[in-house]
Amino acid sequence: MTSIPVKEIVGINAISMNSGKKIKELIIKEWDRSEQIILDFSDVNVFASPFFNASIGALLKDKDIKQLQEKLDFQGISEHGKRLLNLVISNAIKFYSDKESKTDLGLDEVRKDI
Amino acid sequence: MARQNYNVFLPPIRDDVSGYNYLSKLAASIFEAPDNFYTFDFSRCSTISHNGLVVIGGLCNFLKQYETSSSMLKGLGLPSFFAKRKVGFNIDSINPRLMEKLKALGFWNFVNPDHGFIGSSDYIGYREHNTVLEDSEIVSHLQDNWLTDEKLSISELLKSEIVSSIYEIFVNAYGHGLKENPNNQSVISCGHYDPKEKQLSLSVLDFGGGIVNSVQRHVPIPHKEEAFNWALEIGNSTRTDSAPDIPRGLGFGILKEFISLNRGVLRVCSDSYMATVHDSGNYVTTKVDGCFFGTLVSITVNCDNKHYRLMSEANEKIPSYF
Repeated sequence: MTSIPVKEIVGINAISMNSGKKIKELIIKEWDRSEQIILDFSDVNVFASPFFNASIGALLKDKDIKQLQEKLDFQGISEHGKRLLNLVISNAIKFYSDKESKTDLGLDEVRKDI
Repeated sequence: MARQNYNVFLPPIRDDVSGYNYLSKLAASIFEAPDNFYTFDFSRCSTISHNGLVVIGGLCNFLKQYETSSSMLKGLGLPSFFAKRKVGFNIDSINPRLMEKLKALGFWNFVNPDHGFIGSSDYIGYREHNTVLEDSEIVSHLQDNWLTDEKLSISELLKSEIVSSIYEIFVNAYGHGLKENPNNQSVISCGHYDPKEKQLSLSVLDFGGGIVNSVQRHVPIPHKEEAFNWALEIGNSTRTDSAPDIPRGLGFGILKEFISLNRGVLRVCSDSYMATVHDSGNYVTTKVDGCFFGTLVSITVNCDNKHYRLMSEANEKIPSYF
């Protein structure tokens, strides 16, 4: 079992995509090593969707929700944070299962821009 | 074509439909003729709300940046001396109360410091932000300077939900504001707290080309109003703010939910459209008389701790994965 102290890594605000990417990288690093990964959100005050999109939502590109539920444990997270987390997961499941529909239209264009 | 001088006689500008209509017309006129010089005349103006200040300040910012970048393009290599003359203010017959308000909101700090400057940084008011989003700077500023116990009395839970929602507005502004930003323009914000009504209002503006343009570049929706409405739906995004394989598109949905639970008001203006959310919790889209060539998001939030529910208390069903 591994515990990731979110506040120590991103500070008291879990809001930005960059912060989310840091957490995602740590989760991926621990994924095969640990039976369970605890994400400890104690003392994290503010949450926003870009953070969860880049940390948890992005994991659903290669993993399914059942795997996430078995592996991840969210501790010390506020009700608001949990609601955002569930909203992001719901959107991410749709996003990654929607590869043939309009969500992907123009993706090549966007890649060119980047 | 010769440059001309124009006087812009500002009317009273409120956070209502007529205010947004006027601002959209003003923005369209100036965007169509950016080579001219403009003097904003306050003699007929008794009040200007946060939405008016971001648009007027944003237009001043646009004109100055336009002058600078167009002279650079012409190969002069130096900022044009015309840039200083691009924008003027006639404040001789300004209503003294309005003048005090503009000073207190820090409007002149950024737009013309000669007319008044406030030294402290903890005011709730007008700001021009860097062209790169400083996440923690904005959040710390909101928490430590805006939503302090001395200024307004709200629970920690509501405070964090307000900060989170405002952050989503800034992410949205920088998402498309930065992508289409040839003149290196700032994102502009203006906040205002009404202690009598216990309402906090905020407008955030970017002149990044607007929602319709952004949607139509990436999704085949030819009808402008449909393209505008598409962007407001939860899960829809043009993915202009980062890597294309990360899910997103929740900002406006989260804002809408927060505002309807809070019984506040949310307006999203872009191109020639304005979507408004009141108590019903649904967007109502109307056409405005002009065009914003960018995106203006305005919210009014109740801070009285009693007339609303928190997002964490919402009944709406989101699957509970964790």
